[in-house]
Amino acid sequence: MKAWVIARKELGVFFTTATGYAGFGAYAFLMGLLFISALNRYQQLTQYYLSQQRPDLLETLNFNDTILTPMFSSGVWMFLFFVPFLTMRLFAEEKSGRTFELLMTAPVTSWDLVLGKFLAAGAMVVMLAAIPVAFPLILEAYGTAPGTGSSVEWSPVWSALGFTALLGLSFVAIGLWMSASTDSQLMAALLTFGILLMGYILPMIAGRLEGDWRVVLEYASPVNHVSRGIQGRVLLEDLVYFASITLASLFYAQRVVESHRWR
Amino acid sequence: MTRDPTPSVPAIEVRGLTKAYRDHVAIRDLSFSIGAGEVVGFLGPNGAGKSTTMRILTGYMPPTRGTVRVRGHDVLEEPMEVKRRVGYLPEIPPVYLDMTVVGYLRFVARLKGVRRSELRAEVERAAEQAGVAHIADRLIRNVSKGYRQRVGLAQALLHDPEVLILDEPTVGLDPIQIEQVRSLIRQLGADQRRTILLSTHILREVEAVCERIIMIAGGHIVADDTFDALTREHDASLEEVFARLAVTAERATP
Repeated sequence: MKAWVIARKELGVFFTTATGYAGFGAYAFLMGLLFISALNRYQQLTQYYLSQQRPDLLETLNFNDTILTPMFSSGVWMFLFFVPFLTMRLFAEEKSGRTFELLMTAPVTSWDLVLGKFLAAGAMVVMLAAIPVAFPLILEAYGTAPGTGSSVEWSPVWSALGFTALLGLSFVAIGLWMSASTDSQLMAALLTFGILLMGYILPMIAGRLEGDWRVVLEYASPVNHVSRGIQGRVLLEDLVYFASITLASLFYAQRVVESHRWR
Repeated sequence: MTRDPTPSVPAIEVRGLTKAYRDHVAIRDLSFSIGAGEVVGFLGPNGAGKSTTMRILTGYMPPTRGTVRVRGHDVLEEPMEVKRRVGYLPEIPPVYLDMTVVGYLRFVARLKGVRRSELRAEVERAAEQAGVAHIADRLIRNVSKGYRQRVGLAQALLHDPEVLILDEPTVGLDPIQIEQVRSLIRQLGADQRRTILLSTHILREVEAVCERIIMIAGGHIVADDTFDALTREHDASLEEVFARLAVTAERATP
């Protein structure tokens, strides 16, 4: 399997240039901000309910629903900005730098190229998605909720992390496809950003519609699928959704790369 | 070196090769055959279709019409068999600026399927042959154009291919480097089993390293013979032969 050779080279580029570290740093920093703001809100609510002598309301507060789920839900937006940067160079740089000729005349298939690059960028996005695991660990280490005495419930956390990663993988596949479709990294990033942004605004459009179109647009957007996962609901249809987006994009990327052999 | 058992099969066989782009025809109906062990100069003015032909031979792009066989394997039907046997230096060396020379050569060696146990020795051999062993740990971004060209050459030599296709291998080099690359090519060509096709628009280059010349102009083959026969037949220096044939071909092209 030559895909692994490609993947190794790509990972090497991520980590020998500043791209990888800058990406991890920026993502960790921004997720940290989201965590702190959710934590502040949690503290304010706790103090407010305490001062109002409302133990019933205090019991509704827990780490998962009040801190982690909002943090993960906002965090999902982050990939909209990170993934285009991660994927834009994958094929576009090879083409503008003329190394594409090396890859296309080496004894490797188009699938090796596409899967190798997907493995590398996919590994990066999974690592990104894993960073926020630090926050529930901090919560668990330092506290329990005053209302219920409960700490972090882990199964929704795993589900949230897993669905964030699945979302990231499907975005990477789309970015890879766009990068294969153009010689320009900027163009690849803009196209990817445009498609991903579309995914996020579809539910807003759907909200104004009724009937079948509403159902279709809501299904097409990743927002609802990932939201359920973040809330800890693992549904087969959501897994199928992300797998379909990923596989279809990889398939198209392979077709685009292969088509260079026919021009 | 991986070798086919039958030396009688031509190393490269091209029949009726035509490549038409959207707005112009780059090469028309090229046919030639190169035997195993030959060192052939592919000569022609800029824009004659040399690079296009080489890109088709290496399987980078398909022809509009015609067939290419490398050691009997059709480049469209068995591309992997062809690619395994061919080392190719494109017009612009296909190097990654953010990699070190040795890192790059290791990557290409793995791509070409060099075994893990032989990787280090194979990379060292190719780097030594192309004269880049002493800059192995430098970033390609920081080496001169001439060295990038030689790194590209080292890459083509990995996996010890039986057919070498070199697209203008001395472009951008200084006179000393040019002489070094030429002597390397002569040395590589001295191996009777290795076939080399190199393109150039510099007449001295073919004179210096090639036994046979295929001259193209305006997308046609205008001459295909040994260096001696060509100059004898036209009773002129290669410069004059080249100028005469190129002009005739340009006129003949609509």
